[in-house]
Amino acid sequence: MCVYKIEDFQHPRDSKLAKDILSSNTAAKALKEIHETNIEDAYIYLYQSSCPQLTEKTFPKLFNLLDKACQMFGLEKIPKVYVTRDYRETVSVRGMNEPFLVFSSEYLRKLDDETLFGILAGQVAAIRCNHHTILCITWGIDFAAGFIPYSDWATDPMINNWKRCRYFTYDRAFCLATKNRELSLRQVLINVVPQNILDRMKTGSVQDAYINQAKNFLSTMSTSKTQAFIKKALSAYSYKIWLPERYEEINKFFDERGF
Amino acid sequence: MPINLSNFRVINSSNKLPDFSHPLEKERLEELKGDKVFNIGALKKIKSFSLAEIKKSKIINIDALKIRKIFNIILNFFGKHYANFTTIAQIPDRYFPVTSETFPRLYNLYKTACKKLEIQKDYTLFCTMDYTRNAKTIGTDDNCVIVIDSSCIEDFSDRQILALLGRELGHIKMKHITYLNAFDMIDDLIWSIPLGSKLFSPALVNGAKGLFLEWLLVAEYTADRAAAIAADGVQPVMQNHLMTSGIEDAVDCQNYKLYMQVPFSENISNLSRAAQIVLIGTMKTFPIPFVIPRMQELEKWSTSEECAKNFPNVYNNNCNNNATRNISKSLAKGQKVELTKNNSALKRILIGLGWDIKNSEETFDLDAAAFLLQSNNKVSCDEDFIFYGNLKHNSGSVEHMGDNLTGAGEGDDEQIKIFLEKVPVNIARIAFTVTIYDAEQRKQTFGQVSNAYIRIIDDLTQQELIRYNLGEDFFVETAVVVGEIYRYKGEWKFNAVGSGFKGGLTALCKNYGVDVE
Repeated sequence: MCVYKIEDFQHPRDSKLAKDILSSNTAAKALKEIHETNIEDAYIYLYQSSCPQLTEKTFPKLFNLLDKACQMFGLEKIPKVYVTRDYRETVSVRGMNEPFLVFSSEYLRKLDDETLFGILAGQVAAIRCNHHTILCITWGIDFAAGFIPYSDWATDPMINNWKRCRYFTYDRAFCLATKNRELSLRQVLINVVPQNILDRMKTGSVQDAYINQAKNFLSTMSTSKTQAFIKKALSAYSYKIWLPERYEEINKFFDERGF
Repeated sequence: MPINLSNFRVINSSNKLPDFSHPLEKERLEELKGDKVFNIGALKKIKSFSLAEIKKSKIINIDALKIRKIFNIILNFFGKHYANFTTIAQIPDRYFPVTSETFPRLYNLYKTACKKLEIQKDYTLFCTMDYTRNAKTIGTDDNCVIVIDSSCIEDFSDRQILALLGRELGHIKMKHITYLNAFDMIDDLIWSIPLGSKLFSPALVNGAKGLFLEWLLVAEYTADRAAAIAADGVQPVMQNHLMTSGIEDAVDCQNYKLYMQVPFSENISNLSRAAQIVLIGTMKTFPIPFVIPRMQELEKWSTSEECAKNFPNVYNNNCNNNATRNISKSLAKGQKVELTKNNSALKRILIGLGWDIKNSEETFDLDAAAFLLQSNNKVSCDEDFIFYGNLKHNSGSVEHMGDNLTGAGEGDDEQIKIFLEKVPVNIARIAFTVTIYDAEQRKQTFGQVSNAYIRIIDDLTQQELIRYNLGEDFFVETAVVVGEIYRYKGEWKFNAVGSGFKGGLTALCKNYGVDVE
């Protein structure tokens, strides 16, 4: 099995922003505060006590795939996996010292083996790139506003920008794990487009029903001054993911790698 | 030939329901109300009553006094402005009233849960369209309604619905509703109180929330016990907790212990204030916050001596309390399962049938029977009808064990033994029935019978393989086809039939081609 290094899958923009964030004084202060107030303990306890944990006994298939993904992306310790019932959510990595995964049960239910493997690979890669630490810092600040005096920092454009770019790394890991362009593009739209419509979109093929819209969006954003201004403003005030960018980055990655 | 009534188990419902509240509940409520403002221990140690000495000794917990003040203001404000909150539930396009006509299954389960928990007052039950697999009680202790989610009706078995309603009725019985809803709205309430956000410091408001949270957990422990009492066991409560929290399949939830591995050692009061805020701020994002400790606490109680003494049904229905009983498959009406396909060693099975009478003062006479049927769903001769007048089939394959003479309260009421390999080849299925003797004359129906079930036991290992609880869908019926075993591609399968008949045993016999007078 091919074992990937961080530089094989971490997107350069994610890498740079993550370094900038973690080396800032604000992050250091926030980390200290989180540690001293046991916020992380409470956070982990809340998940452990409020979400059923999936194990090798209860979900053997998932753990086989997770084990494989950990080996492929060089993660020594297999993270714990919890499940919650929330139709809006997909999967996320949480925790700081001991990162863990939280799946939405509905999302987990509708994934086939190959997609599930790609998604697990993406999450494992996120842990390897320390995404969970930055997420935990920003989360701690959001929830403990009033106790930690850095709440305005959470809306910093740098953080928002990183929150978008971290998905490029996740997508790259998905691509490397599955080597399936069609599936890699499709997974971007799971839980975004209703399943029956997504099935007809033929993502990654010549008849891809989304590619033109994605290209139009990106070209307009890069050429029109007004749109460029909107993009800059949105970067500052929102961390909403731009699907066309993820779509473009996935295609670019496949073209570069030639698989 | 009538069956001797003394052989039938009857639950005495006239006894008062024993206290099921969690032992910490009273203490937490006192803390919440601020009754522990004075430190008596410190008072005894004080040497002089100077102001400096009093401050130093911490006889009076100033923070507790302030928190009590906030708590009382919040409750008063809630009572004053939200006492009529239940009117929202009466808006017809949001909530649908559950009646015997609109939702007969749900209505009957609700009435059963009320009886089990001895709830006298008639609280209205509503159904709302949602997917959360949950229920809630809105309003105040004196004026509240229960709202159940439509997904519960679709996804939950009867016992699970009993458990869910039992939990809400437990909250009502223990007078938790005002506190629960005040806690739910605490931030809104603080903002609603004129100058509330200015008058109370965030630290004190969060202190009040922390106390609320400690009480809330214990209140939920108590409500979970009520759920188990209503459902006659902990398994449906555990299934509800897991299915609401993300384990989608009911079958996966049966072995609930697999999900209870997380050690529960965290004491909320030991966490920093910031950490407590994190808990309070984030807990609402989970379908059932602290579900695992709740399951652990319920398991602990259901295996305790206290539970065995006061709630034997709950105690006996916990698989931990009977070493020989493994976890069996619990079926829903109409569900079909394999018996021998993956268990080729299964040669001899015992069919156990049980029931309770809702009103113990009435004289009831129930009888189990088996019909050996051909592929046309008829008996080949009258001897294929096994009942109290014909206890054993000629082939030796089916044997009625008679009435349960030893079980004064527990276990199956009647049993039928099947030697699968001896069943004649012309027999395609064997139907198991329960009928009420002399029902018409006594004006008795299955509407007066509760907790009816059928279970299949491996006679060799005594392991329970399958259980089907019938629920309480019956009203005017006097006979019920509880279940049947049938041949399918050379193997035996079981079908949880659960169909009612009018006309008692005579009607059943005619239906199956048995000649009766």
